[in-house]
Amino acid sequence: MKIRIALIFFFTSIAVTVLALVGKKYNPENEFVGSWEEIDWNIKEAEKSVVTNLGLVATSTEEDRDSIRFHTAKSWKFRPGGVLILQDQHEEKELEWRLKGRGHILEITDGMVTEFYDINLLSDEKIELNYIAPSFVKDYARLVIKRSS
Amino acid sequence: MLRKYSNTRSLGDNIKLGVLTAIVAGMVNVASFMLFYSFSSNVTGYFAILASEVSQNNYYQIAIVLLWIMSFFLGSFISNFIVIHFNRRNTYLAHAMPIMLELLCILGVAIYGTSFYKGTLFETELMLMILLLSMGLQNGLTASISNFAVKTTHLTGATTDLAILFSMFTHKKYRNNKDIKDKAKLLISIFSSYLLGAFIAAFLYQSLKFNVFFIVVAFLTVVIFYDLSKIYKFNRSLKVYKLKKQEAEQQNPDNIRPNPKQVAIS
Repeated sequence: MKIRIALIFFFTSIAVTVLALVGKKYNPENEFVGSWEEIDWNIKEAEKSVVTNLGLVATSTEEDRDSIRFHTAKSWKFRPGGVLILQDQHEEKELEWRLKGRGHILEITDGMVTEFYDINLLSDEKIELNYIAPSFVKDYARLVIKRSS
Repeated sequence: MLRKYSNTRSLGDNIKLGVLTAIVAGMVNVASFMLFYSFSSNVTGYFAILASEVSQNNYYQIAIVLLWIMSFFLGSFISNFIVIHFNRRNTYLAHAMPIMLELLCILGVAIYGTSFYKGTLFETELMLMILLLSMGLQNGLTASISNFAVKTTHLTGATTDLAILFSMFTHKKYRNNKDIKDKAKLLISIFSSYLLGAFIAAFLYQSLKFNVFFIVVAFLTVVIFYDLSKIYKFNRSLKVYKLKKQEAEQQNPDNIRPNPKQVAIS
């Protein structure tokens, strides 16, 4: 009898969790939607060539022209339906964005190259993203964006 | 592979079951990681993640991780439930049913993924839940019918067991023990098959994406129909034998069934 009660409790708790999630309609994707302003791109001794070429590209020095590739968009516009607009003063590029896993991974792709970012912080005001580099890269690249008005 | 239960199973039965289901688990796990960035054939890591999410008060993630763990639990529960309740009525069907359910789950993911998937988080979470359910079904079944000898969706326990067995081989007393050797053979075949499945999925993922799951479905179909074909062959042989016996009886009934009393008198 006790086991039956425990089983009923267990399966009820699953159903309640599902219903609570569906009912609350909270979704980390909605937290992303909006306009964000880039405030920091910190590549700490990472193998720079792994930060691939997506969106707007900037190179710091002449010799690194082919290897250093990272986003320098002033504005990141996450639109519903997976559309990401990277906007600078003169340029604009449309990419796709998705959340993966349990909502802890941001995937950005231009159809050719796909990048993954671990979402380190997701708040109303700020998002911190850690670039997920191949395992042979010891250090990291971090992007911080804040919500623009 | 599926017809026999517990201690009546031979090493060959366990190896066949272990090899095929380990390939499936390896493929599903790697494919789900590459498609959804989360594993689907084991839950140990999710307990650690759960603790981490609890410490950060991420309620949404806590609920999702709990659901995934529960899905795996539910799968194993259903498998053993079917086995213990239907085993006496039809052993093959009782053992094949969890694999059929697993096949349906993976087929559903394959069809949805190739035709309807838009990449939203909800779809990702739901499909992972279904894959974890299917892996729970598989692990529950293999463990249940093999008396816990075959577990193919994760290798933590198998690694421990194999390490223990290898250390036993260093002692003269256990080196030639048949049971230990058999167990090592089984574990090594599970390891290599899981790895093979993982490699297959990793190589094929780039070109096939969600279609990888159709290959998994093909493997599961082999698991289901392998024993069914054996049963069919056995029934056919039995039918032929009975027919021949009947014909022989009709042709010469005295030779086939002698009267015991007459035999005794003579």
